[in-house]
Amino acid sequence: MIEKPSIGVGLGLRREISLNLVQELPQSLDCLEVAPENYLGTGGKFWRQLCALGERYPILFHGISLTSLGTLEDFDWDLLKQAKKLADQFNSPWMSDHLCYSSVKGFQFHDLLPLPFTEEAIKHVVPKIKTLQDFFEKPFAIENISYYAHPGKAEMSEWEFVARIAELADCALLLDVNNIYVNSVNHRFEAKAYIDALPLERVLQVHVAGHRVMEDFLLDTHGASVIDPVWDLLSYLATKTSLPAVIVERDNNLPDLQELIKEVEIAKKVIRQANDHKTN
Amino acid sequence: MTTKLINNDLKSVEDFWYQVCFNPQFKPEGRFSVYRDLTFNCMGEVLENICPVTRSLFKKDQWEALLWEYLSQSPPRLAILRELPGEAAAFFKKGKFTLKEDYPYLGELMEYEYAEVKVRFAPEDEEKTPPDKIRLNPAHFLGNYRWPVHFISSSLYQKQKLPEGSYHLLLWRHPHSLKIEFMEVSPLVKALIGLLSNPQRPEVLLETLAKDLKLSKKDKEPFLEQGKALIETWKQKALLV
Repeated sequence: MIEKPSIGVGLGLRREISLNLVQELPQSLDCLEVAPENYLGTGGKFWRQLCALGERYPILFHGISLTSLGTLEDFDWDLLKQAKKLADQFNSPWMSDHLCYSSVKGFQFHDLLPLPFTEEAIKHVVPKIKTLQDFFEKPFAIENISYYAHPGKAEMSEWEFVARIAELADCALLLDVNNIYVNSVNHRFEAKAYIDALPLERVLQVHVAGHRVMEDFLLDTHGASVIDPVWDLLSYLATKTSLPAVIVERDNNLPDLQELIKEVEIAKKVIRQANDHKTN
Repeated sequence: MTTKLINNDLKSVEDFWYQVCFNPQFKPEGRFSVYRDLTFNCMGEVLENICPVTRSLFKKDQWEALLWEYLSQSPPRLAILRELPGEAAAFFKKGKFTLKEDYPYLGELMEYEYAEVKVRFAPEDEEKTPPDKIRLNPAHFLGNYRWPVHFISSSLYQKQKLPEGSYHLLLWRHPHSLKIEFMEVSPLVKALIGLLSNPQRPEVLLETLAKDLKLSKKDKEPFLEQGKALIETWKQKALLV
């Protein structure tokens, strides 16, 4: 049984906004999500800003290149040890990373590439996630990624793949509803059916973000405002389960902080309305 | 190898993704090409942002060809994205790239540009120096170069204009203002800095150096005076802490 603390709605911390955050400490912000890779073994301006923000907000650590769950290589244990130290220092309630390849053969993609949805991949990643949970001594959440092409023949749907891994590894979920939306358009499935198929009691964290419309597909850019169908998915998810933390992700084309805070407030409103609907 | 032939076993999928992202001869089909663009653009942007002078020396197609040489021969191993330019600089310093005759200083220039990021993000200095001693600010970088990379810009890049020699470039971060300072140092100063990684009493340090240099009694006194003044200046600049 995964405990679900109530943390609230926050932003992904980017260097471009961290000084403004330190100066303004917005009231409507409940937490911040931080990529540990950006701060491991660092000092200086951005480190000091993170420390100041950590005094005010809960910090949720979310890996990008930390674990590469898909790769056949062993973890980079030095990196993981540093990340654990950082997460413990800031008392991160859980750790998370993407269900994907961020490296193969020890070489880094600096991007997130999809695993094949196969029995072999499930057997491969489940023990790795268990190892991570034991190592971090806190819940570990896997995030569903956006993907544009599946490598080889899929043996199951993406949602079945994610659900089975979460159940077998007994881990938490970080659900990115923008990724579900992007994938539902690119691969033609019903986004709400995806959500319905997941073990939602495992959801500890949610991402909402924007994407870019390309000629014949959607590209997950984190470079635009969240669109209504993605807010609708957040609302739908909130009617189904409690959401301990929701993060508005914006990595590119960053607007000013006020605009980002507006999106945080929209997320709060969407969740509040969904909860009201649930109660009634 | 084409997309249609991918097997879905994990070994084959790893091989496939490696080819997509690091083999310029491999042509990914359909939306698999999105991954090549995403990884290549992400890494290219980081290199361009951290090494703008290096980037300014090349036309777009030259720059992309250089990146492919680097990525295909020496794919990145470090998980920290901001450390990518350090890996790329190490590759170009080995000189195994097509344009090495025209740009022999490429790796050194890239490393010098990356040094600023390295110093900016250097860990906090947790150590306390005893009051009667001095030590080098650990948030520093000392680059030793054959080329005067600190003078290179997009308008001055032909190798014939660059005097080959021995250049020692020092960058450090002020612990309070966090400003990055720069200084070109002489071989003597470089030697002095080399003695300062552990806390030292200044007078002992200067005596040691005078002895190493086998200075005469006549030369020793002004050396010690000048050395003391230099150390005082460096303390004010927070090169010494």
